[in-house]
Amino acid sequence: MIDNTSDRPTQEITLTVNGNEITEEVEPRHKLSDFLRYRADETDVRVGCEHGACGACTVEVDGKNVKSCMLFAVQADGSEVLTSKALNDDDELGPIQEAFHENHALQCGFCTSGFIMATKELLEENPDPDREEIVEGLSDNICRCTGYVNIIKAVEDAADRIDTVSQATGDD
Amino acid sequence: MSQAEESKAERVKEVEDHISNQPTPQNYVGSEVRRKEDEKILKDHREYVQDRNPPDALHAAYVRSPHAHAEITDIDTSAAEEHDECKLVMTVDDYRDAGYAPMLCGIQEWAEWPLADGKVTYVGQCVAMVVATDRYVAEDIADLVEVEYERLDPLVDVMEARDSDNVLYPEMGPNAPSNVAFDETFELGDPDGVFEEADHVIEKEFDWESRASGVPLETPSALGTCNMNPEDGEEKFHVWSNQQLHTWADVAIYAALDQPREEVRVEVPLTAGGSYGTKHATVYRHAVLTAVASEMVGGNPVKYVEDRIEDLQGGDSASTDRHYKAKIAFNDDGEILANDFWLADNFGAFPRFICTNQVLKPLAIVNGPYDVEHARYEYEIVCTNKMPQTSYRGFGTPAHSWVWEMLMDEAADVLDMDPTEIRLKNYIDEEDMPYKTPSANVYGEGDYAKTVRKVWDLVEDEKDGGLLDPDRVEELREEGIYRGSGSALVLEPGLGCYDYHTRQFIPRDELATYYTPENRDFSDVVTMAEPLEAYIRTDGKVVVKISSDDQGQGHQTIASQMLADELGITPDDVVVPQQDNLDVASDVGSASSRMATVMSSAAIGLGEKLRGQLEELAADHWGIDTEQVEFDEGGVKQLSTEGVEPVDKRHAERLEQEFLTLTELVHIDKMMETGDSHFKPQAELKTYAYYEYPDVAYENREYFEEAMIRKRPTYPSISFAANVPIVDVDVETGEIEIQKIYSVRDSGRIINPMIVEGQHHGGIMQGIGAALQEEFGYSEDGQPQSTTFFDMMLPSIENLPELEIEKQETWSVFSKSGAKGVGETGIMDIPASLAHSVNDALKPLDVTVEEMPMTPNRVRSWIRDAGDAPAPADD
Amino acid sequence: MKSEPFVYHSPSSVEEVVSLMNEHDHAELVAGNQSLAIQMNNRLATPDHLIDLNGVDELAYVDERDGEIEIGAMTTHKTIANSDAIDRTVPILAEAAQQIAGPSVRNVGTLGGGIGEADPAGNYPTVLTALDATITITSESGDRDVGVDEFFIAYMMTEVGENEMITGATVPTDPFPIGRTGMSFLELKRVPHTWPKLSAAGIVRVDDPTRDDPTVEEARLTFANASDTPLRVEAAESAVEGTSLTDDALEEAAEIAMDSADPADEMQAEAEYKEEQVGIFTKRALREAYDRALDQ
Repeated sequence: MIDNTSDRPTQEITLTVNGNEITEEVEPRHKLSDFLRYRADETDVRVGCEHGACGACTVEVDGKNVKSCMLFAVQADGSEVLTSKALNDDDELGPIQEAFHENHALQCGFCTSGFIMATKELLEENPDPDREEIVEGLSDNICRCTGYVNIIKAVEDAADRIDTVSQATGDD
Repeated sequence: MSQAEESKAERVKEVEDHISNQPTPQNYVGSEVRRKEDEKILKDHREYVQDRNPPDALHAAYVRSPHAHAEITDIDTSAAEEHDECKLVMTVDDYRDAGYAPMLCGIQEWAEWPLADGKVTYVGQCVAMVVATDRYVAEDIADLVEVEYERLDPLVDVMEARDSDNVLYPEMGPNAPSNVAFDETFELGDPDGVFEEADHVIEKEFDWESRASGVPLETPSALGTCNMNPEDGEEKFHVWSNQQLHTWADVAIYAALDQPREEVRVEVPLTAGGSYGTKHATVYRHAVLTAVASEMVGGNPVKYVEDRIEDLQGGDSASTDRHYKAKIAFNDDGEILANDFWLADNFGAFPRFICTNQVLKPLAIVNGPYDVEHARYEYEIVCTNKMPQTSYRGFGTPAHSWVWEMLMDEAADVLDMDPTEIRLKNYIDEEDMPYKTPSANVYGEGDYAKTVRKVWDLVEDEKDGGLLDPDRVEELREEGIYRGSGSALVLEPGLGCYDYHTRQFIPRDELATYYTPENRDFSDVVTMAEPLEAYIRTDGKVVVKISSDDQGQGHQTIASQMLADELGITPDDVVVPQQDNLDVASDVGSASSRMATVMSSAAIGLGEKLRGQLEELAADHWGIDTEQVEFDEGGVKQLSTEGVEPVDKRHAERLEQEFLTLTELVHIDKMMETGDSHFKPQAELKTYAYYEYPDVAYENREYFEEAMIRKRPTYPSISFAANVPIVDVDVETGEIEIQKIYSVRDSGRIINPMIVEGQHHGGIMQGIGAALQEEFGYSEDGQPQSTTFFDMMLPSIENLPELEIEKQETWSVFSKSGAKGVGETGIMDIPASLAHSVNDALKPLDVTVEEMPMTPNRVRSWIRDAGDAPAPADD
Repeated sequence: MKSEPFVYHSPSSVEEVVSLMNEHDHAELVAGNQSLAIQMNNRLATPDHLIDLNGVDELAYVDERDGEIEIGAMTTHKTIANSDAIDRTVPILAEAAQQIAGPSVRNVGTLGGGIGEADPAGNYPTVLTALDATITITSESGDRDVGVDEFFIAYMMTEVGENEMITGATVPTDPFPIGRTGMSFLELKRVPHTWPKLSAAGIVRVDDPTRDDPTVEEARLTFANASDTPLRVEAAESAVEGTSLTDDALEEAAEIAMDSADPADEMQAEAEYKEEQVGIFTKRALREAYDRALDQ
């Protein structure tokens, strides 16, 4: 048994969070969600269940979504982490956020960052999802306020917005 | 026109006149104004309770009970205290010795210490609080606290507990020693006589024991700070928490801290992470204990965030848990004559403050939407070794309405009548509105039968080639899928008057004697008005101070829309800051579907008052009569200067400026008399106004006087919904799939259709959850079974059926704005509606719903008990 | 919900993992961390050393060979669900992977994690049992292959011994010729974020799908959560083999399966209910598998 009264093991890790490189000494037991909230001050990572069921803490680590409460921060050492905040452009809301706002897809807002990250990954893999694909894509996230109706609308709207942006900029 | 109709028409006209006489246009109210709250949330600029991390904060964790019922024989904190990062271990003795008080309970002569006192009575009960440098370490130290228990027999079943000699708290409550903490019987009219005479009486038992509850994604949390050396005017305690109803339920915090209200500042976020009624009773324990811990450690802020497992296991987070014995009497022609509902509600270990009112609210709609004159309503609040209940959206009515609809189905069956026909026969006639119920509550308005017909009109197309095409239904049945549908109209009462909330603190003999029209004067009725305050800033923006608390409802948006229209400005010109409990007048807050209804009504009053004051100010400035000015969009205009001779050049100049903007008015206001002083007392400013919108029932005394004097629940806002859910029951697996829900929903005048729809969607989904899947289960020895989201099956996006919702607006005849409650929509009506459709689906098998939630295993057990279905034909 | 302290190791090869396991007492391996993290956060698992397999790239692979397909332990649910090779040869495995939770769980959850956890309600143990897979266990003394029928020994307990690790699973594909095999995976599950109350894997190979009423040459039938370990009901399989999956045969199979089931009571799914559903699922899974065998 590890002596947890004084010299608990620690480890230095470096993460790039929303573009900022952060080096910190952490206990291996610290969750990525706690690291992001307490060390990186990315409080948009919300903690709703801490057992990988609600999806509020979803972030992107090296290009794929994970529930950050289910990863120890040391496991993300050397990784690039994105939180929902990074999807806003400068001072403007990003297209997914804008779509959530326009479609009243948030009420208390506590689950929203997670849904935004889920939407991002879904639309990257499938820029024009049908309703069934949206449901499947967001099935790792729980919302208790909206009944999901407007979230589905927001994802459809976000797909259009992103499509318009990429057409305008000539991306494909 | 009948007298009732006349008075109703008058009331509606009054509201309409009000709006049409308003000088400013209705640009925003009634339209889909996008929410002001969103941008901050989406940019992470809005702080939730968890997000505040002062650098000197310490972190708390609890030692919680692993047992449902046990004597605590010893608590050894020495090993914990020896840990070098331990800052505090607090037991109830430490708390009590420091002079703090028990927490409020909902019943007279009950007390609950925030930490277990000598015994534990539910799993997850807080036994000790540990404070350390961070949460990880706090949990390490909590593991070092050694508690010795001697186990006692656990009580889980409500019917067993009510008779048991094994009494949890033998010294508490008016029935001591008894697990029945409080009980009452209401005889309304002559139920016995009617039951005696009726052609038919049916009696059935029902269980709504799921304890389905809000389960917001943000758990209860608090950051308490003790100011060890307060300067004059500084409060001793500051609590940052997601306490719901913080401007009046703060009493639960300062009373336990044994402080006057002024010494405890309760700050809440501008938007908390959901509540649905629950956070009024789930948070204050932590608010109190973090504040106390802060004092004990010398003033560092102490933060506690409940984790999900703590919350589901012992966080006071569950709700309604009832066993019903219910009867109705009716005649051969289907006329319902009387109802008699007895219920025992399992409140768990403590009857928590105000949650106990959840058994009283149904009394306000004791007859449901039906014209029934006689009723008996009996309830028992029973204590067991389950975790204590909190309040939840609907406040006890969803189960009541469900029982009503199940009995209506049964009556239809007995008489071989169509279930819609028997309902239509008994709905209260629109002509009888305002309608006084047997308990003396009054329903103001609404055409129930017409609403039901309207929803069937929507469904009509489904009957030909659609979901309800008889051929399709038949085909499915052969495959073992039983499709059902039916219309239930369910009432959604809101705006409960404050007075009845203290009913369960009153000795019952006094309730019978003093609280009668003969003995109690109307002026004795305690009400809580809706305060609203506004002032104009020097840049012309209008600051509105609201006392209500937001957990996602959109308070800022609604207040901005209302004031924008009142003053002819835009919502962007309105500023709605967060208010601490000490910054504003007390208000009931976000409960009882109040916010939009009373805030909108208060905004009308406030607008009127402010406009009047500004007209006076302008008239004074111009030296003309108030008749000669008029408030217009964003300021006051001169109508005429007839008969006015300028006294000097300055006066003449003033008169030349024929319109004064809000910015100009505020400068004029602050310059007058005292010169250019921005420190002029607020009370003297004409650009500041305070308005109280009186309690709606109190204001409509002619209707509600009797119920209020009798200290019975009055709910003057009666929204309603008529639903036709189309459900498929797989009779082999018991799974229920909702194909579609058709719904006509009426919550009076709509202020923001987008927000109203959002409430509908969310409420409907919570209704689906409560009806089909959410359950706080317990083992026989009192161990909770739903301690994670793997077991607490909150609806996911996959559970969303197709919804077709039509909004209807029958304006309230009682509220000033015409709005009615929408905050508790969905959860109130959907469970009853779904069960009604399931009854229809399973009618061929002679199965009826008697228990919630309708999980596949329950549905299967009903079908099995009924003798099973014919095996589906193989394809 | 915070874990006890531990020391973290992130090896990059199987060899390194094996030596770390030998070096440290009270060590746990972590793969996708979708289950162990919960145990640790609740302090139900309190390892002193956590050995993270996510850097062991050699364990993430799908290798289709003649007559079999081998899948590395660190292959994610997402990879399995999207693998063309798996979908072509043993589609039930892809289907089972796709039905685990939602996308962010499938991004990180792994085959090895699912097998090692050995939850009786888990998808992989049941499907691999239906497929009669072999699990490869690796230790200092090399690899050993254990048939899936011997691998799951009791409730959440497997053949994996101290200082051993799961490195992969091999599924024989010969018994499932493409074109006349059908597979079906059915779950009784209300929401994605929970475990199924019951699931069933059915596989049917017919003699000739173009004939009228083709005959079942071979059937497989397994259940999750119907007993402490994955339940394969060979007698039920035999009952339908040699038939054209007649109602009588299905009925007999269902009776046998129900008799073999020994489920535990749980909230919203009492043993009686689960047992009854074993019968229903027998019929549905085999029927769907049969229909799929015919429909290609």
